[in-house]
Amino acid sequence: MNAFADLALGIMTALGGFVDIGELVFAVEGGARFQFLTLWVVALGTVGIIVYSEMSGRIAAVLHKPTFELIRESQGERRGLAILVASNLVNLLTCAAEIGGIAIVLQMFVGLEQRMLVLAAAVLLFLSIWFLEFRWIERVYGLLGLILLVYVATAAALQPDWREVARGLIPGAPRAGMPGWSVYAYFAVGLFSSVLMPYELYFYSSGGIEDNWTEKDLSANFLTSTVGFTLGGLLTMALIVSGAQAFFPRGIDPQVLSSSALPALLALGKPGLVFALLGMLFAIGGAAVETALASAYNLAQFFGWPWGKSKRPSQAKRFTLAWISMLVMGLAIAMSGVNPVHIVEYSVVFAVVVLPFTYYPILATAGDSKSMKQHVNSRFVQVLGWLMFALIVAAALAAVPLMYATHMGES
Amino acid sequence: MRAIGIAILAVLFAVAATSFYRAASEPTGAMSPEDFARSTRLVASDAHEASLFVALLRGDRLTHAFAKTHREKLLESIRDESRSLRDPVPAELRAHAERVRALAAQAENIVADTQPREGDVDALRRYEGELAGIGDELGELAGIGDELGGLGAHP
Repeated sequence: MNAFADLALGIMTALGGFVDIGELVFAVEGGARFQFLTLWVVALGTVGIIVYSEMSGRIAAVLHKPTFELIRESQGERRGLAILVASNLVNLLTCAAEIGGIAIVLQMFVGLEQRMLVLAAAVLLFLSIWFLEFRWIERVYGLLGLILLVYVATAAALQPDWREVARGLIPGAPRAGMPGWSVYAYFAVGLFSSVLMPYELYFYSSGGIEDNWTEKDLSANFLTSTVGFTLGGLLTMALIVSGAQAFFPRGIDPQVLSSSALPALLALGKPGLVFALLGMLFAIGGAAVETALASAYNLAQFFGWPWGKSKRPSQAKRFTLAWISMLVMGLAIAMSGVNPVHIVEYSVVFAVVVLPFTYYPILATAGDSKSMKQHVNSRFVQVLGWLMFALIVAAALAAVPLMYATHMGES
Repeated sequence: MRAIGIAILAVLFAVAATSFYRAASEPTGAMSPEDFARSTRLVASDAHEASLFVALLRGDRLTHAFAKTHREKLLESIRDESRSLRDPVPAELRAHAERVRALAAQAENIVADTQPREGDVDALRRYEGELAGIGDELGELAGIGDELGGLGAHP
């Protein structure tokens, strides 16, 4: 029973961390502009995050090393420091966007002024990280983030042509009535990046150590990463299908977070709207917690500080100060009034530049038979890992030029 | 020493990233036909979305808080795009740009006016149709920008 509970908990964690404000914006907008043509990107990204999260969880269980420790060991001090700075800046931008996103969702519930709700969001996040044990953080945000499954019902209720949906799983060219190739490529890279955001791996591997994983937990790690991220991928696909059905025929290119709730309202009425907003609240909240903690994990693991939510704040002072600082800085950015949707587009594109430096050390370590012994990557996983890594490098090289050439995907 | 290194790297990264963002997202100086088409298309999209919003409002399908928030966000989006349409345009687009600005202002006024008229079904029905018409006309004007920019028709 406990094993089942742990497994369910892990699946929920993976699902809660997978869908954040980036997915909610990029996926719905992708559907609105390209109908089902970006589904294959999500499928590919989901395979990538499953392969790499399984590897990072396996490394955490066997070697008890989280991802950022691997980065420091493989890249050395100087390059490791640069990766730390870049990763934590991407985390900070993402955290700020998530705090702003929570405020907008709260505003959709209560209608109060946004800046006051930004402050309320940051306070709620602080209280939940401070008072909840790690497993309860996973349970609260993961379990309640599952409410977003309302988008699966939404996608079905909007009655798409399922043959067209299935065709979207194979790469295809943009059709008449859609933006051109460069914008399509921008969306493909953006969606790929939003599925593979580095903080997911920092949090996942550190969470494995927080949960005291050992070699006995390897099968749970496999199931958690496979089932959890598959659910996350399906949910992202449901968002794309919902966006395609609700917005494409009406010529709408949704630019604001509140638009992402409209498909659920159109398909399921007011209950659909309420469920969609609740799901968004906990999914975005979970991502905010993950980014704040992931930054603190990165710093502590790089500099060798004591870390962990399982430790009392007095036992891990610098770690505690780090996640609080991240929340405060995120709050300051969100309070400045910058549109969270713009921040998240920015962070998603820049995250892809950091991806190779996060993913390579995981691949190298999981494929090293000296350290991993009988738990080393199988040939199949190693080949799949290298294929995904090649795609990640290609996306990293293309991200910034595409962002510039397409004016952030607008033309 | 490490802390100083981190701070310098963080500032450098932030400055570089901000410059890229500005360069990527904001057209500078005179507006090219492509920029005109892009901004016009976004306002067209806002007008179509506003038409959908008014239809949902008319059918009493929205909660009060959601309607208030979504209206605010739509207005912000229209205002943002209208601001970028103030830049000078090539001579052949001047009259079209004037029309786009007028339509954007009209859409903004209608969306704002839905607040005091939430219970007025007839007014909302009229607004829904007007916003859809504005969206369609803006879409056609965006097409002119595409053609002048050499991109061909692009909805």
